[in-house]
Amino acid sequence: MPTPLIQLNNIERFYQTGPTRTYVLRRINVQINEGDFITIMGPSGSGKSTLLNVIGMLDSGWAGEYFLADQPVHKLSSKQRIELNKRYIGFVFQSYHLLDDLSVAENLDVPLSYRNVKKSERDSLVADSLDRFHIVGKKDLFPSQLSGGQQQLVAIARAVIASPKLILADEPTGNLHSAQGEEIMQLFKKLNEQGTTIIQVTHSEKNAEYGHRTINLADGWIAA
Amino acid sequence: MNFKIAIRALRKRPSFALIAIAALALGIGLNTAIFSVVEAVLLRSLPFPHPDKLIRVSEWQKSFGHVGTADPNFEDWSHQAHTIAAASEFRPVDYTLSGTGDAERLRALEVSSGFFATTGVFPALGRTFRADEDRTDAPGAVVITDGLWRRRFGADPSAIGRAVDLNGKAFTIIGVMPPAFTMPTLPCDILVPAGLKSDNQRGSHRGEAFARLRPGITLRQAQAEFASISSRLAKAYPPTNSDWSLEVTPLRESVVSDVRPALLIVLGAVGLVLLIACANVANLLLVRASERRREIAVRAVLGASRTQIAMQLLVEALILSLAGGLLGISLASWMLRSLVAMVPVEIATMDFSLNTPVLFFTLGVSLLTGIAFGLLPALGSSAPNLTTSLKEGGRSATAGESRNRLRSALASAEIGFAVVLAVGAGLLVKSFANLQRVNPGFQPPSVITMRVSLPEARYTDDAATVRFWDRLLDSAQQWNGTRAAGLTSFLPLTDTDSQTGYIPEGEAPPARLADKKWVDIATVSPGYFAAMGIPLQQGRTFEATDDATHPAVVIVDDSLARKHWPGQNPAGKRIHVSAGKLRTIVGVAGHVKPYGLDAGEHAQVYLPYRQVPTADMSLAVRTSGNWAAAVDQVRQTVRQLDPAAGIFDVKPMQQWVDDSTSRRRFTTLLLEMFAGVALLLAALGVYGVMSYSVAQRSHEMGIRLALGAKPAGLKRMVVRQGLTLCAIGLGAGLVAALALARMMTAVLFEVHSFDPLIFGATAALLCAVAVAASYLPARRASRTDPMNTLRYE
Repeated sequence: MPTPLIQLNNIERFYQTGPTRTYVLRRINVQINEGDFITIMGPSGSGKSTLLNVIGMLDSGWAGEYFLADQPVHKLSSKQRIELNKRYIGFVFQSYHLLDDLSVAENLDVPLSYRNVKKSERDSLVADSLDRFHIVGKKDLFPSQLSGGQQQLVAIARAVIASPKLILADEPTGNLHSAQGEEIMQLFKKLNEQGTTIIQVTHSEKNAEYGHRTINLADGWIAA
Repeated sequence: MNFKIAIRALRKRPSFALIAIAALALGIGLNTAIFSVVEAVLLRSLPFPHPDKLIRVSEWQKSFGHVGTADPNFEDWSHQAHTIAAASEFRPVDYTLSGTGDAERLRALEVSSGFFATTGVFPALGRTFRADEDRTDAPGAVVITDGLWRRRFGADPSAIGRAVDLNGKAFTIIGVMPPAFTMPTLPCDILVPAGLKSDNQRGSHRGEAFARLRPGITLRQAQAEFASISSRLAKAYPPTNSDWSLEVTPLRESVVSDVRPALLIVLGAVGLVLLIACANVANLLLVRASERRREIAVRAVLGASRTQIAMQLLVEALILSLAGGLLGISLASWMLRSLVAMVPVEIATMDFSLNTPVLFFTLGVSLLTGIAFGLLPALGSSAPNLTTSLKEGGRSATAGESRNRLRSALASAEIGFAVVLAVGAGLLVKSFANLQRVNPGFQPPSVITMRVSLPEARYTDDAATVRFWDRLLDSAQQWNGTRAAGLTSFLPLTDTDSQTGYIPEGEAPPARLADKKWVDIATVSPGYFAAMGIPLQQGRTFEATDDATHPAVVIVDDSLARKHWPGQNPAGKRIHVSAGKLRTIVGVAGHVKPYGLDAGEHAQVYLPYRQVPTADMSLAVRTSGNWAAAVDQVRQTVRQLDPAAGIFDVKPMQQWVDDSTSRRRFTTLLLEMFAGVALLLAALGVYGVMSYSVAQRSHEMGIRLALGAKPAGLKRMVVRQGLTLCAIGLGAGLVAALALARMMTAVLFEVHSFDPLIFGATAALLCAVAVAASYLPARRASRTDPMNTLRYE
């Protein structure tokens, strides 16, 4: 019996412009189980990234019920949401979003430092991660000295270093050429096989094939 | 980690870091330099044990204000008061040390025997005065300071017991004070017994008095006791004491009360400069925060709390402020050297240094400024809109607008602070200019002055004294370039006073001291008026025949003449001066301002030195020749006439005039400088805001141009925006400046606190600054290439 990790009930998101409400998500009801590899697809403006932001708690202006690991996110304060986010979620972005002033090793250290992990433990986790992602030789380089693929590799390493149960990836290969994209998707597959739940947003049918299930969005609705 | 990352981030943007550090160093450096003066003058404890127990006891009367104490009054209250443990009277005087080597002028304090117990400082070598030595007829005993002991006696312990010649009288050195002994604002080389005279007049307030409170006694208790002693003295001695009261104030307050307003104004002004610098750096940080929106959002996504983000930004701000503080200290040490040359003469002898309290102040100011300018941007950026901040090229309209509003508010605040400083400086400059225009009653240029002091013990005979001065004057007339030479016992603007009572012939002597008429008195030689350029308005100057064998004569000034004989020629009228014989007025001299260009008018009388000889005179020589040569000639002549005579206070008369305005010059110069810095920083602030605004609106500018807007129109639009910022700051600043100007009334001279010219000129100046600061960004806006901008967007 699969264990539900995410339960979304009637999630709605709209923007108010004067008297007009523009909906970007309508009545979203989704269950995602631990170990799932979910792909969210749809045309531009269909609400894919918004849904990912809602799940990642980057966006708070939505209505409906959202349970993450049995925690009612819709009832939590912003501080509690940050704590929940820290415990469960790792992010991977299309444009990597590495911190330019920090070296590769320091970028990996950042999420741990915000989780009050001891320095010695952090050093050891960063070393493990560098080793695991085969980027030991790059540890002192800065993002500007890396290729796009290498940057995304570091971004994934950073996303998983605090052992999140869920990885949210927004167009993770959007800025990479096909060979690099393939490599990154293989990495996601491996992480998923090791138990990490993955939700990716993509336009690529090929990438979508890595997932177990695809949620198609159109005009904010889940398409049938 | 925060620290390391912050350093790296700053190193990657060196121009931002350098501009911010330079602005802060300027603000903190100026504050540190000024604070080191304030610390030395207003905050540093008096250099005595338990300094808070020391009080000044002065005598007060409505028309005289606070003056020193009279010997018999001192004797009475120091014995009657139970709230005090010890008391002392002292008088700053000059002594001439002679006998070995060149005669040297020594700054002395004539002190009563309680001096050591009152200060709590005792000789490190030797002993204090015995009671039998504290008499005018006692053999001379002197306690010397450590400085003099080392300089003149080579720190030889056997100096104790050695005889020295002071003012021609033999004194024995009985003690050497410890090295740390100083009297604040009173340079002192030796201590000699005052020899108080209990039979002296109770109206002769010739000494300063201070006392030490008993343990557990408060100032208020002492004030109450001295009030009751005053009443007793008034009842016991109604002619001299009926309108006088004994006033008790903390000694520290009385020492610096004259310069306190000037220093507080300067401190307030320099504080404003720092605020402007902070606003400037806060603006820079807000721009930085806008540029770092993505980085901050990523940190938030990676789990950073608001506090952690704010701390990261605050650490950067603190690094900037501490670097600014460090650089500020070097700047302050350099500025302090210039400042020492500018401080008012009454505090010029104090020790100004970047000592531990000052460095703690700098550290505190640096941390506070770091928090002040870092907190707003830090708090504003710690809760970013994550979804928009993380989008490629995303722009958070709301956050951007609120940040822009904050930046505009900061720039307006800078303008406001600059207005306050500029108005303050303007009022002081106008005051100072008015003061410079005041006619002192004499012509200081080309006049060199010096004091010559004869050893009194050897000049007990009036004839010998007169002979010495005659020969000195004869010689002075022969020197190259001498156009006139004269002597006076009371040189104007030398921070001394010389007053006496007078009664015009026919008037009855006053029943009470309070009704007595007072006049400034000087004993002068015939050539004094010509040497000083004091016009003789009626009658004649003194003549060689105005000596002891001829009728007593006097020259009055036109102030006294107008008061008693308006519209008449007073020549031939007679007055009693100093309760002496009737003197016939032979001439009327122009009024001189002896107590300061801004001081009220005091009537003056001049007596001929041959009728009233004195051993201590100032020589004034109007010369067309070289001053140094004139001074050499004086020294040679005096050495030939009497090697034991001392020469000191050698100064051009213009220097005395300048020194008399040193307090006003100090505040005026500093405020001018601060206002200049403030205007520069405010201009940079407006420039920064306008530049950023133009950069942010390049898309809008491109569209406007594409729709047919003319470049000149865009230029006007941007300049108008700059002027709007200026108008807001100007409005608030002018209101604040009005309040400040009202507080400054006491330090202004013949300037209304609301001077329309100053306020108007300041407003115009600030508008000009705003236009200038907006012009470059406006020009950039007008040169926007719509093709490029729109394609880029």
